[in-house]
Amino acid sequence: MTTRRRKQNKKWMLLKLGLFIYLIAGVFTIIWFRTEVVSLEYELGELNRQKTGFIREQRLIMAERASFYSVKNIEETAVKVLGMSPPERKNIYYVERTEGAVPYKVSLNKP
Amino acid sequence: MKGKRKKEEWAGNLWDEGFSGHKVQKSRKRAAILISFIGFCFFAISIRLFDLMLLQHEALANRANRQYLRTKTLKPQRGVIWDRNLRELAINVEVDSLYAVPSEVSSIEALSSGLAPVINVSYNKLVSAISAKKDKDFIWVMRKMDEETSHNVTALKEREKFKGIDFVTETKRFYPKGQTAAHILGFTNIDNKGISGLELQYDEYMRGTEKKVFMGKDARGKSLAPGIEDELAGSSMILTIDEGLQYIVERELSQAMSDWEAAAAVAIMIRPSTGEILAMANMPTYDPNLPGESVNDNKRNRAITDMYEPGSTLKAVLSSVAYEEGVVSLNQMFDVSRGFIVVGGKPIKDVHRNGVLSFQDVIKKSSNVGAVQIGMKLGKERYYSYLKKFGFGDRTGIDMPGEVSGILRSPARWSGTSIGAISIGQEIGVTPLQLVRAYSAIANGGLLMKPYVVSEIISDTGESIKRNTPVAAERVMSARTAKVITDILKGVTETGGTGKNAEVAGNLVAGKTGTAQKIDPNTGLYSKNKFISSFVGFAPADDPELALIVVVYEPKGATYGGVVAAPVFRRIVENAFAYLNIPMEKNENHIMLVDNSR
Repeated sequence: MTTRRRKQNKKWMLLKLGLFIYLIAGVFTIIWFRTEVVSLEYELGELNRQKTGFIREQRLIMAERASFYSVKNIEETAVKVLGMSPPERKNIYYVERTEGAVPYKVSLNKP
Repeated sequence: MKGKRKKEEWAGNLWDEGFSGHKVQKSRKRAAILISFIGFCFFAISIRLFDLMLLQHEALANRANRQYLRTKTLKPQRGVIWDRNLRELAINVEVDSLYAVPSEVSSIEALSSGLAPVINVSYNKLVSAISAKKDKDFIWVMRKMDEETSHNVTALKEREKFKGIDFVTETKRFYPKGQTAAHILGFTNIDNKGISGLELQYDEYMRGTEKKVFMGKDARGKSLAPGIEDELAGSSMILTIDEGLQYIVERELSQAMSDWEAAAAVAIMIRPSTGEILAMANMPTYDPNLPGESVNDNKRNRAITDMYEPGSTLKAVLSSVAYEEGVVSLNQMFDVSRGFIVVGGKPIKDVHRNGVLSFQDVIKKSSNVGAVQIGMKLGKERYYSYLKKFGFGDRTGIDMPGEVSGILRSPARWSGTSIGAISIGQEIGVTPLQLVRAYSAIANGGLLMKPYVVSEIISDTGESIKRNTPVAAERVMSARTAKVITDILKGVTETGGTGKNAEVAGNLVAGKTGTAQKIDPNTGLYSKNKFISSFVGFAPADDPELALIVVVYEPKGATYGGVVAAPVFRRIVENAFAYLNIPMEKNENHIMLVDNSR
C-alpha cells in the first residue's frame, strides 16, 4: 500500500468517525431536547395545577368579599356593631361650592 | 452484444474457479427465487404500508392520539350577574365533587361505612348505589360538596387508604347576597342549567359553549401541560336592579309581612321615564343557594305570575281615560250622597258616606259610586280600548320568564254589572307589574314604557352583545291629562285622602290606595275576611324618580290599602330617597349660608 493510499484511508476513517460522532451527538441532542420539552411540560402542568388552585381560592375569597359587601351586611354591621343609625333626611344638607370667594351655599337642594 | 460477452466472461471466470455449468444453473435459479421472494416481501410491505398509511390513516391516527393524548372537555363558567352599580349578584365558585370507580373499590361495605357519616348519606343507600353499578367505571357519590365535607372526605380517604374514590372540581353557582333579589335572579340546577328567573331567561347567553382540548399524557396517564391558558365563560349581565334599593324594598316588605301577619307581599319599583325595574321583591322568599329547601310557592315571582283584582287602584286609570276623552271635567260634580248605585240590578256601595263630590274628590276619597258614574259616562267600548292600550290583558313583555297576561274580557262578554265592577277594579285580573307600569305612564307624561330588567349583556371577551334601551310602547294619554291626574293623585296622600299614610316628609307623592276582596275558591264568591291591600304611586310627584307598588295579601288586623300598604310605600320611598340622595323639596326656607373662610 502506498503512502498516498494510506493517507487517503486515514482521511476517510477520520471522516467516517466524524460523521459517526456527529450522528450520535445529533441523536443525543434530539433526545435531550425532547426530554427537556417533556420535563418543561410536566413543570407547566404542575404550575397550571397550582394556578387552578390559586384561582379557586381567589374565587372563594371574592365570593366571601361579595357576601361581606352586601348592603344588608353593611347595614347590620353599622347598626349593631358600630352603633350607627340611618341619617334622617331632614338632617341631610347638600353643600354646594360656588365659584369665587363667596361662602358655600348649604341647602336641602342637591347640587 | 456487449452484455452477452460480459455474461460469457463471468461464466468463464466461474468455470475457471471450479464451478460446473450445472452448479451455475442452480445458483442462478436460487438467486432468482431469492430475488423474487425479496421482491414479493417488498411488495407485501408496500401493500401493507399503503393500507396503514392511506386507507386506515384516520382510524389509526385517532387510535394513536387516544393513546398519547387525553381529551378534556372544558366546561364554561356561567356569566356573572351584576346589579346596575356592578355589585355581584351571581358568581361562580369551584367546589369538589366526589366520584367512585366501583370496579376499583376493594370493599364497598367498608367504603360505605366510612363515607356515609361524613357525607351525611345513609349507609344502605350508598352501598346499594355503588353495588348497582359495580362493573361501571364511574358513579357520582356526592356532587358539589362544601369545603368542610371535602376536607373530611380527603382526610378519611388518606387515613383509611380507600381506593376507587376521587374528586373532580366543578363550578357551582353562588349568590353572594343570599335571598336578595332571589325571584329576579332565579337559580340553576346541579348541572348549572338555569331553572328559573333570569338564570332561565338568559340561560343560552350565560351558560356559554363547551370546548374540547387535547393534552399529552405519559405512560402512567399523567397529564402534560394542556398548552392553553384561556378559561371559558358565558356572557355576563348588568341588571337595572339596584342592590341597595332591592334591599330596602325587601326589608320593608318583610317588616310588613310580620306586622300584618300577611300571607304574601309584593313590591315593584320602576323608573317611570325608562321602564327600568329598580327593585322587585316577593315575600315569602327563598335562598337561591339552597333552592331545594324552600317550597315551590315561595319561589314564585308573584309580581308577574299572579294576578289579582286591583280594586280602587284602577280608578286612576279610569279617571285618566275619562279626562282624556273629555267625558268629565275638573269642576264636574258627582252626587254620591245615597252611598250606593245600582248597576245591572246589583248595588255597588261606598265604604264611607259622602255628599256631592268633585271629580278630584271621587279619586281622593275613593268613592265607588262616583267611579261607577264616571265609568258609565265613558262607556264599555271606550273604557275597554283604553284598558288594552294601558297593557291590561296582555303581557308587558318584561324579560323574565313566567309572566301572565291577566284577565280582561272583551266588551261582548261583559255582563250588565261589568261596567260598574271594572270601574272599581273588579272583574279584571292584573299583575302588580301591569299596574305599576300604568301608573308609570301617568308619571311619564302619558308614555307607557316597556319594562325591562337586563340592561346589558357582555361577552366573555368584554364586548357588548345586547343592550336594552328604553322603549315607549304606547302613548296612553296626553301630557296634559297626565299632569291633571298627577295633581289629583297628589291629593290622595294629603289630608282627607285615603293614602295619607303614604305621605313622604319633604316630597310630594302621587298615588292611590286599593283594597280588594279575594275570591274564596270554595264558594266562588268574594271572601269576607281575605283581602288584598295595595298602594301604588310615584314620587317626587312633579319630577318622578320612581314609581312603586306595594301589594299585601291577606293582612290580619286591618284590610285597607291606606292602612296596610301605604305606610310600607312611605317607608320604602323615604329610605330610597335617602339612598339615592334625592333632596327634600319642601322646607326650602332651610337654605343656609356657611362662612367660606379658611
